[in-house]
This record gives sequence, C-alpha cells and structure tokens, in this order.
Amino acid sequence: MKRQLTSLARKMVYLSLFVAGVISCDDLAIDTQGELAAEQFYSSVADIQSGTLGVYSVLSDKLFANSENYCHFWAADDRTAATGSNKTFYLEYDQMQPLDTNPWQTNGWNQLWEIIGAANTFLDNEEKMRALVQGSDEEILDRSLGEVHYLRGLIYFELVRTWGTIPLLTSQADVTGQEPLASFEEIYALIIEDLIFAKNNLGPTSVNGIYRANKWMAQALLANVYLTTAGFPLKNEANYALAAAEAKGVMDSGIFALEPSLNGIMGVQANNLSEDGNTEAIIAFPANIGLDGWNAGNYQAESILFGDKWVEIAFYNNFPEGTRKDFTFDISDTGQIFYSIEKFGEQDFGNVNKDINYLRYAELLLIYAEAQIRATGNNSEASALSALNDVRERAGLTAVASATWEDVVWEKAWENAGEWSRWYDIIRTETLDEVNAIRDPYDNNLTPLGNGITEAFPWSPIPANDVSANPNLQK
Amino acid sequence: MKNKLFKNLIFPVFLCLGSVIYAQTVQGVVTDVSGPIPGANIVIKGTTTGTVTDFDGNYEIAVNTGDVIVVSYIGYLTQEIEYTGQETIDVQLQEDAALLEEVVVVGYGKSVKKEDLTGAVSVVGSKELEKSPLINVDQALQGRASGVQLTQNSGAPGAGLKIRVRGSNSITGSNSPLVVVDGLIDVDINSVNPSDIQSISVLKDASSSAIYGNRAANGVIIITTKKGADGKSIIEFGSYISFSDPSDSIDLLSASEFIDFANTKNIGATGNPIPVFDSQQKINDFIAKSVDYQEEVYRTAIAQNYQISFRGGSEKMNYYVSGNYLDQEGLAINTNFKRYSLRSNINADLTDKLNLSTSLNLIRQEGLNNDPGFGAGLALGAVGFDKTTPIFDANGNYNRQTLVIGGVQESVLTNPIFTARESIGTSSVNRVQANVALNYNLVENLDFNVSGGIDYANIAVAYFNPANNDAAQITAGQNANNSNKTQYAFRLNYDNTFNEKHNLNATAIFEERKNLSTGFNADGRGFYTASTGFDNIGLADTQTIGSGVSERTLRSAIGRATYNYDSRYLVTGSVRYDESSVFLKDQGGVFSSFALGWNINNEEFFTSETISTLRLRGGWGQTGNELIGTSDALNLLRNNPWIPNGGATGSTAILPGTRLANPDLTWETTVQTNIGLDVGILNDRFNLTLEYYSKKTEDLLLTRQVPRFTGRVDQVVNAGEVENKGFDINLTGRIVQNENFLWDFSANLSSNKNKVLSLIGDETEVFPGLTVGGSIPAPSIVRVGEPIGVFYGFIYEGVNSADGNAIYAADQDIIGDANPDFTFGINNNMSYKGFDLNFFFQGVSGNDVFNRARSLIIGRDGRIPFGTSAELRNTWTASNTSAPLPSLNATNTQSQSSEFIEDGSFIRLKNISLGYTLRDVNALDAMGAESLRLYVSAQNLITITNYSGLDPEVSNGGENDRLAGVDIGALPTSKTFTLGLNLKF
Repeated sequence: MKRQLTSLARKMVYLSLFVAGVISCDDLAIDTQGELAAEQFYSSVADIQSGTLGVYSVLSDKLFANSENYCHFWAADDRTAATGSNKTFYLEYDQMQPLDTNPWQTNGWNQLWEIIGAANTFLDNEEKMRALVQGSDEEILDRSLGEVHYLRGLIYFELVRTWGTIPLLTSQADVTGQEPLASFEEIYALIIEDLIFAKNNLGPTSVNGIYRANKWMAQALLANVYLTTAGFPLKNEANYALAAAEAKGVMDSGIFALEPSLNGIMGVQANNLSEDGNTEAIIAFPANIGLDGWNAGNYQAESILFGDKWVEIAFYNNFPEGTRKDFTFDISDTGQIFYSIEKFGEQDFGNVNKDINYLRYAELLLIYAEAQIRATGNNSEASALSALNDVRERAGLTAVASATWEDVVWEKAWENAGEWSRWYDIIRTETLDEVNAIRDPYDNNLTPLGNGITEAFPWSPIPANDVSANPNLQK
Repeated sequence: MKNKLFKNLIFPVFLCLGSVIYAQTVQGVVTDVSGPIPGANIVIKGTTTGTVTDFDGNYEIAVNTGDVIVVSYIGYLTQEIEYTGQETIDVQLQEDAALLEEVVVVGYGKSVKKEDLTGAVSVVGSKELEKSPLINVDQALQGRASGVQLTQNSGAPGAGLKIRVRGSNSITGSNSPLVVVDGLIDVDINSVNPSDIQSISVLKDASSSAIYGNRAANGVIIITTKKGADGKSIIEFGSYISFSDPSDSIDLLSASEFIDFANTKNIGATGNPIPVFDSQQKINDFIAKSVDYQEEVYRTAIAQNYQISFRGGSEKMNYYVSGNYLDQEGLAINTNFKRYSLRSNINADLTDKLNLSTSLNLIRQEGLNNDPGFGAGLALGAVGFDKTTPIFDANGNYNRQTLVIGGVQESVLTNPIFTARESIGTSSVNRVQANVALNYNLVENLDFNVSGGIDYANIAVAYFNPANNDAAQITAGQNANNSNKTQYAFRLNYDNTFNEKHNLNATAIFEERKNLSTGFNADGRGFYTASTGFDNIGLADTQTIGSGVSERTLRSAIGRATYNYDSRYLVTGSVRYDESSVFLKDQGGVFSSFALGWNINNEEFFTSETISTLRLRGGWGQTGNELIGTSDALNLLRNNPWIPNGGATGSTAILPGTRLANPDLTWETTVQTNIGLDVGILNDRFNLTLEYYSKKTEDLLLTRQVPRFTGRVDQVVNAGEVENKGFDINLTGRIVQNENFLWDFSANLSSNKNKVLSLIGDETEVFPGLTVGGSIPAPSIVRVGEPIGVFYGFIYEGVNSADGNAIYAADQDIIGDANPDFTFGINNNMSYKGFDLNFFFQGVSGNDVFNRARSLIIGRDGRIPFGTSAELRNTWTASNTSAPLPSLNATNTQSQSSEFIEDGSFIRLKNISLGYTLRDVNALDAMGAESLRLYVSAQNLITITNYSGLDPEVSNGGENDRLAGVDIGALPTSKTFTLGLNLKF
C-alpha cells in the first residue's frame, strides 16, 4: 500500500511538472490584429488628411444620392409620391402625417449624425494634431479644420431645418446619449460660428479634389443660413442684410455664372465638376459610384423611373410656361407628370454617375434678390432685380421691373423644382397653409392631408429609437 | 457496451459457485433478428448454475427435467423456457425497447446509466437515425428530442436548421447550442456524416451543461460516433436515391386575369391601361406566350447517397472506418449540394495501463447556388415575376426584366430563370477534424487523460452575378476563409466504490481552446464580358480587396464530482472557471451547478409490481455565453473610402467606428433550475419523463442601439434579463410485443414561454429597424413583458365597403408572436417478421408568421406593383364591395399590419418508411452477405396547416430570433420519395 502511494506521488509530481510546463496563467491576449485603434490615430499628417476625408465620406455618396434618406421633401408642393405601394414612407410626408418610425427618414437622421460624430472627433483632437505639425504642415491642419467646421455647419443646418430643435454636440468626449434639446438660437449660433471660421480659414479654391470645401462654398452657405434665420422660427430680420452681403461677396468673386442653357446645369456626367465642369455649381457632391439600383435616387433618374418623385398638379399648372417648364417636366403617355431625365440625370440603372448639385448659382442669385428686397424694403431695388431677371431670362421669361419677396420665393420654387430648397423655403416663409390651399383636388383626393405637420410645427419627428433611449428628446 | 462487459466478467464468477449435479445436457443457439448473439447468459432459474454462449451463439448446459432455463442478454428481453426433455432449445431474443437508451453520454469522457442521471438530457440513438434518410445531422433531432426546437428555415440544398434548446436566452447574441463531437468542442453540427452517428445527447439543464461553462447557456449537443467492437468484422453498404418536389405551390392568377387586374389598377391610378396591354391584340399575344414560372423554377430534384463502413476489432484494438458521398439537387434549377466524407475511429490498448483513442474526420462540402438568400429570391421570383413576360425575347435573349412597363410602376424583380441559370454562387468547405486522447491508469481507480484536437476548415466562396441590363453591372468575387480551432485538455479522473454502496467519481480538468480565423476577399464590379465568370476578377472596372483576422482564446479549469449511494441517492456537483480573450478587464467567470436524484423504486419500502422506475431529480446551475465578436469591446476606427474624391488620389477616409467601445464587458449568465420525474411501468416497457424548468438570463450580451445622434450605431453591453420557462414531456412504450410483431411508440411535447424581463435601464422597447432580404423592413420588435420575436404594427380591421380603402385601428400594437406554444413529435416503429415500418409526425402549434410574401404578390408593394396572386380575385371593386381585400387603388394600405399575420401551426408527416430485411437467402449467402434491407420512404408527405404561404416553417430571418417567422418568400421544404438499401456483410 505504502509502495503504491509513493509510486502515485512520484507520478503525480511528474504529471504536475508536465502540465505546468504546458499551461500559463497570464491574461489572455486581446485580439487587435488588423484593427485601427482610436487611441493611436490623429498622430501624423496622413492621419489628418484621411481623418478630414472621413468627415466627407458619409455625406457624399450615401446621404444625398439615396432616395431612402430624405422623405420630408415630399411634404413640399413640388413633389408627390405614387400611391398604394412602397412609397409609404414618402406618402407619410406627402400627407403631412409622418411616423417617428419612418425607416427612411431615420436613415437620414442617422447618417447626418455620423458626420457630426466624425467632425467632432476630429476637432477633439485639434491640440494633439497641432502639437505634431510644423511649417507647411500647419497649413494642412488649418485648412482641414476649416473644412471640418464647414461640414459640421452644413450638417447642423440640415438637421435644424428638418427636425427643428435637436441636441447640440460639439465634442464626442463624454457623450452620454442623454443630452437635452438645444434651442434654435444655440444651434444657429454654432452654425454661423462654424461657417465664419470656415470662410476665414479656407482658400478660394478647393485643394486635393474639386469637391472639397473652399471659401466660396462656406460663404454661399452662410448667406442661406442668414436668410433662414431671418425667417421662421428665429425671425431675426436683421439677418436679411447679412444674407445679402454674404451672397454679394460670392457673386462679386466672378468665379460663378449662370450656364447659358439649362442643359448645362446638371443632368449628365459631362457636366460634373470633375469632368468638364460647369460654372453654376457652387456646392456639389460627387456620387459616381455604384449604388444599389433600388436606393439610387432622390436626385436621380431612378427616382423618376420608380415613380418615387412625381409632381403635384397645382405646382405644374402654376409653373410659368416656357423653355424651363419643358426642360423640367416630362408627361407620360398616361398623363402622369414626371420630372425630366434632362434635369435629373441620364438613366444608368444602379449607378449614380453625376454630381448632386446642392447649391447652384441660380439659387444664390435668388437668395440675394430676396434678402436684398427684404433688407431694403424696396421691390424695385436694382441689384436684386438684376439677379432675379438673370434667372428669369435664362428660363425664357421676360424681365420684370419690380418684384415682391414672395415673387422671388416662387421664382426659386420653379427654378429649383425637385431640388433641395422648396420645403425649407415653405417653412421659413410660413406659407404651408397657403401652398396647401391651392393644391389640386385630384392630389387632395389621392393623398389627403393630415395635420401631423403644420405651419407652426413643420418638423419631422425625431426617430422613435432615439427618443425611446433618450426621453429628453420628447417635444 | 460497458454493461455487456460487466456481465461477461461477473457471470463466470458465479459459475464457479455452482455445485449441483445434473442429469442431462441441452444445447442450442441464441439469436436475435440479425443473427447469433455471442456472450448471452444461460442460467437455471433459482440456482447459480449457468453458462454463456460462444462466438456463434451456441451453448450447452446441464439440466434436470422441470428446470426453467433463463436466457438473458443486455438490451434484450429475458426469456424463460421450461426444460421438458428437448434435445435442443433455440432461443430468439427480442430487443428491449426500454433498455436501448440505457447509457447516456454526459460529456468530458463520462457516461452514466440512465438510472443514475440527475440532469435533463434528451437522447437520440442510431436506431432512430436509421429510419429516415438524413441529409444533415440536425434533421435527426427535429421532433425527436423534447425541449429542442428545430426549424427548417430554408429548403435550399444542404441548408442547416435553426436549433434552440429550451428557448432563446439572448436578444442580439447567438442562441445556437454548443456542439461536441467525440470530445472535440465547438464544431459545426453538420460537419458530421449522419450515418456515422452512434448517439446524440442534448444537455438541456444547467446541472448537466454547466461543465461546459461559458458556452453552455444555449444547451450542449454531444455527438458520439460509431466505434468498432471486439468480434467479427462487419461491412455495411447503404445507398439511397430520392426524388423531391416542392411541398406546395401558390395559386396564381392566369395570364389574362393578371392583365385584367394590372390594367384595372393602372386605370384607377392614371385613367389609362398599361401601354403594353392597351389593345386586345397585344393582350392576346402576351397570353399566348405566357409562362408558368413556378413550373420553370422548380423541378423534381434527385438526391443520391452512398455509404460504406467497416468495423471490428480484437481484444486490444478496434476500428470504425466509413466513407460517404451525397449528391443532392435543389428544388430550384441549377442548385446543388455535395458532400464527401471519410471517418476513421481507432482505439487501442497500448499497454495494460495506457489506452489511445483517435478520431479523424475528413469532409468536403460543395454548394452551387445553395445560399438560402439566393433561393429566397428565386422563390419570390417564381410567384412574383409576371407570367406574361416570356423567358426569352424573339431573338432568343433573356427578358431579364418584366415587359410590363410604362404603367404607374414597374416590378423590380428579375426574371428568376435568368437569375437561376446565369448566376454562379459556389462554396466549398474542406474540413479536417482530428482528435487524439491518451488515457493512463495511474493507480487503481485513478486515470490521467491528455487529449488534443483540431478542427481546421478552409472555406472558399465565389460568386458571379449577371447584370440585369448591362455589363457594367456584373459583379463577381471570391473569398477565402480559414478557420483553425485547436484545443487541448488534461483530465484526472477518480472512480471508486466503497463498501459496495458508496460510489464516488471525481474529475479535474484543465483545458485551453483557441479559434483563429483569417479571411481574404477580392471583388469586382463592371465586366465587359460575362464569359470569365469569377475566374478573372482583374478584368473588373472597380476592384476591391479586403482581409481580416480574428482570434479568441478560452482557458478553463473544471471540477466535477458525483456521489451515488446504493443507486438510491445521487448527488452531482461541478464548478468551472473560464477566462475569455474577448473581454478586456473582466475575463474570468465561475459557473457552478449541483443536482440531486432519488431512485424511489430502489428503496426497500417501495414494492410496487407495476411501477418499475420512479425517480425524482432536481438541479440548479449557472452557464455562460461569451459569443461576441473578438473586437466588440474595443474603440476602433473605420475606413469609408471616398472613391471619387474630386479626381484627387488618396481615398482613405477614416472616421469613428459604428460601435461604441465597452471595456467593462463580461459574461452573460443563465441560471436554470430543473425538476424531473421519471416513471417506468411494467419492467420499463412504458416510460414517462416529465421535466419542468425555469431559466433566467442576466447581463445579456446585448447589442444596444445607441441614440444615433451620438454618431455611433450600437454598443455591446451587459444589460437586460430574459426568462424562459417551460416543460418537456417524453413518453415511450412498446405498445405491442409478441413473437412476430413489435410496435414501439414515442412521443414528446415541449412548451417554452419566453419573456423579456428588462432591457437597458428603463427602456421598455427597442425598434431594431431590422430588415430582411436586403431592405424589406420587418415588423419585429423587442418589448419588455413580451417574448423575443413578436410583431408590432397596424391592426387591420377590414375594408371600408364605401371606397375600398383598408381600415386600421388608431394605434399600432403587438400583432403576433412567432414563438410556438408547443412543439411535438410522435414516432412509431413497427416490425413484423422481416418488415419494418416507421411513421413519424412532427409539428408546432400556436406560432404566428408574418407573410410578407403574400403582401408582395398581391401587389401591395411597389417592388411588385401588379399582383400575381389568385387571392386578388377577392379584391374590393365598386361592384363587389363586400370583398375581403382592399381595392387595388386603396391609398392607405400598410404592409406592416395584422392583415399579413397568419397562424403558422402545422403538423407534418415527416417520415414514413417501409423496409424489408432479407437474411439466410441463397443469393445473399453466395455473396457472403448477412442481410439486406430494402426500403421505401417518404418525407414531408402530408402537411396540415392553415398557413397560406408555401411553407409555415420557413423564415428569411435565419438564425436571428428577433426575425423568427418572417416569410418574404423562401424555398419551401420538399416532399421526397426515397428508395434505399442496406447491405450487411
């Protein structure tokens, strides 16, 4: 027995040594192979450059090209959606009764905030980057900061005009997800501050790519921001003069001009900034990538093909006859009013091969005209009328000798039909009831209006997912 | 096996004690239906005199007239024959159904007798597996194991099943059970050839599964493959061929009806008919060329399977070697699945004390267009693509898209025949699973075991998607993944019995496992030619490449002890410490369990004649879940390349990752209590097992949607609680038992109630924003107080007879629940002389299915603007205002509504088979064969359901439990007829 025990003891010792030789008790290694860790980034000039591009990347090819992001534009009179189909998410807005679970509108919200997150993360690292740049690299950092401030201003401007009051994040450090809603004053103050910073820090030409921010883009956008803040809801009327001044600054640069023919404004790849270019694009986004055919179209031919974006009848009927009307619309064999392929792009199913023009010189002229008329109170102010008449004459209309600000807003509705500005102009000028009142009975019958969105509260509901996680977002 | 050995050893001891003098001798042969039984026990009743049969089943024993000879053998019913002077007494023994499952494998080298089991374990044995031809192992469990729900999500060839043991614990994590094959932990259940399986144990409660610790919360499936045995070499050859058709088809409009409805809708929307249908001549032309796409997409699919195995052994060594080839055509044309496998299990006693066991499995799987998502597209195309568009145009080119153009909208579907024939999606998996263990007997009762294993898989996927209309849209790519799972373990095992009544078994284990996977992909878009397929991606206009690696390590120390007093009182306890590399700070977790059992029938006071088994048992334990991505806890950046970049070079665009870091992440823990009762009557001829359980999962590894204004998308957190409560009932019995006719019956019923107890903080619901099939939103929601997998949406209240619009309740609400109230299976095996008959029913009851496919094919969605379903005949029109479907031009219809929630209950005749076994026939003898079984069988012959879609069981949500029961069109289960044979030498 004893012998057996010593034999066992000996075996156990050998065994323990063997086992101990194989196993270890260190902490297990974390798997970080092949990953980009946040803590190590923003530590070289290359990081600064690719970090800046990161702020652009969501914006450009995904957000504005895609029809399943921005449904609120359908609330305006220049768009309507086909009925009884998958256009529900546009219909909700077309009928002024949006749900906070609208998944496409939620996509837009989500992506805009990704850009804010990217911009804030970049700006949070300003000191770290400042410490590493020297000499000519400082220029790169300053320009990058200008671009990132410009982008943050642009995105907040989209957010505040669409959803109304929103949280205002200026840093990603210590974001809790429980932030409260900021006031319109606070939000617009940041937008203006960002754009002024951009205007002062950016040069007159885009660097490292034709679509990158420059001084004129920031200034043109600033003009629109001032115009907007002068109307609903802030009604800071002193800003009309500021809007006119900023617009004038861009006009006087001499860089931009109306294309002689409407055919030159967009529609085909040859008019992309990166191709032959055109003189009219101030802010444009490139989108020449393959997108899922189904998703490719807020601004594209596909939106016409799919019946995403039709035209309300009253809007069409009131549209002044002439070359611009012919250019803007197509009528199908069955009498349906579509936007035209000429205006919204050659059809290349599944590929967006042309720029998304966000702010054209024609719109800037009209921003100037309205702001100048309102600031001066003079319906015959010469420079305002000259800007207005430039747009009218290219459209095949006669020049006018006097115009009210309302005339200018309608002119913008025609000129920018189906583009970005109409819904925001209706909100800003508090004309929703007026516009709805002249709606054609056919449209009213097809898509009867609810009262979820009103002139006094024209905002998209903040997505349910965010409100449920942060009750502070309840309005 | 153990028991046979035991008796073989014990009986000779008794023999020596016999001392009565006998007058005569009698001899004979002991057989069962398949031949002689060596080692059967022959005893004179009331004495210790006896013998055992020799290798050929012969025996000889001395007897006196009037003695009763008792013939017994483990696994068979004991027979008694009175000696009245016969010269020979031949005995054919019959299998005892009650004893078939006597030994239960419970993991880490341990098996227990059923009477010593304290946990909840379902067992499926090879006898049951042999009755129906199986493509994959998971099919063997469906309806056969109580407490285990298996769902055939897709009828794609080779597709696996969704397996859930006692419900779903995790909301966003994996709920798949851990699979262990011959000691190799964490393998793909369908990497085993079903014909190689000896038995499957499913460890359902925590007292059984806690030994597997951090991965055991979803249950553990232990598969044991066949081994050779000491004795004659056996060669078996099996083959079958089967013919499958879709189990159902959808009623569609005729071509002329389709045109009528399409025009009606278009006129309602625009005032005009669709231009292509605006004259009777055009309409007639379309009707003349119309196509039944269901006929074209589906076919009678043929599957063939060949299996050969060799097994045998000597005292010191045994072997099992098998080879298998399976070729399964899919129901949809140009889809296929093949499998080649080779297995070798060899065990050897190297010395008296040292034993070596090895197991090697080589398997290759090849799939062609068998991705369930691809199949779903074909299934939807078969019913949703309009039959007025012919497959080819006048020039013999494909009509890739619908010819019904110029109306309010156009269908987005692509011609399914074009897609099916011209797409190439291949996958091949080459897998090596090897396991080796050395067992050394240190001293009596104490063993040391060292084992190591590897599961290496090389997975290659290649695809070629033809363009819908131009070559610039062609996409093609290849990706290659390597998965290398390695593991080793040391085990010390002590087993002893003291004073005959105290049995103690104790085990200590150290184990380490590592999973390393690497991937590489290359993709191209825009090919000027389709002729190179995916074999020359360098031709693509746009090329992208990617690569990645992930690694996870797990280190564990485990202790387990069982104590058994006189087979009356049973105690089991285990504790396991695990460390996982996927957590940053809190890597370790402790999981413990215990269980008690009481064999009341072994008590002296228990004297029932009828009740042969009465056992009460209960257990409690903790198990864990660590199944998150290896970098989920980290703060990472991502590259979102800005390709255009205004003509400038350098497109790398770095921004914060979508996932918010969480350095505090740790285990998800499930605590489960189980109570079981086993009752056996009439010598265990009938057995009933009842189990009740209650599980609570805490600190869920939850991928929470963070408020999106934070710029992030989600974060993995430990939060929330989910409860699962339910019962499993299992009943087995031998209904008829006489010389020629046997009828074995088994039935099981399981019920599980799942409930989300809490989410993150005060959140009461999460809108997951989930989509299926690309971008179709699903109405699924997670809400406190409801189960995982409920539907939320509009409540449909019918049609407004005045204008044909739909009527909905003012508020949205919960409109359905994809979880069944019950799942059940009923299995019958009968044999009469050489015939055997099996019929097996399986079903679920009380679950809802969101039939989105139905809403698509009635034209509710712009994807298919003009409906194809025959149901449209019941559409509201000005002249039929009481019809149940809203008007084609209704302006307010909603897809996410209760209108499309249907009862998914079904009962299915899963298998019926009839076989005949030939033996002792000249032709067989001439071949040297022992027996030949011929059989015919049918699978899924009858399905009884109220569900209006193709198959109530399919779901496009796949493994995602939040998306259970969502049907946007998926390949249906097939109805299959099989002819087969098994030849045994």
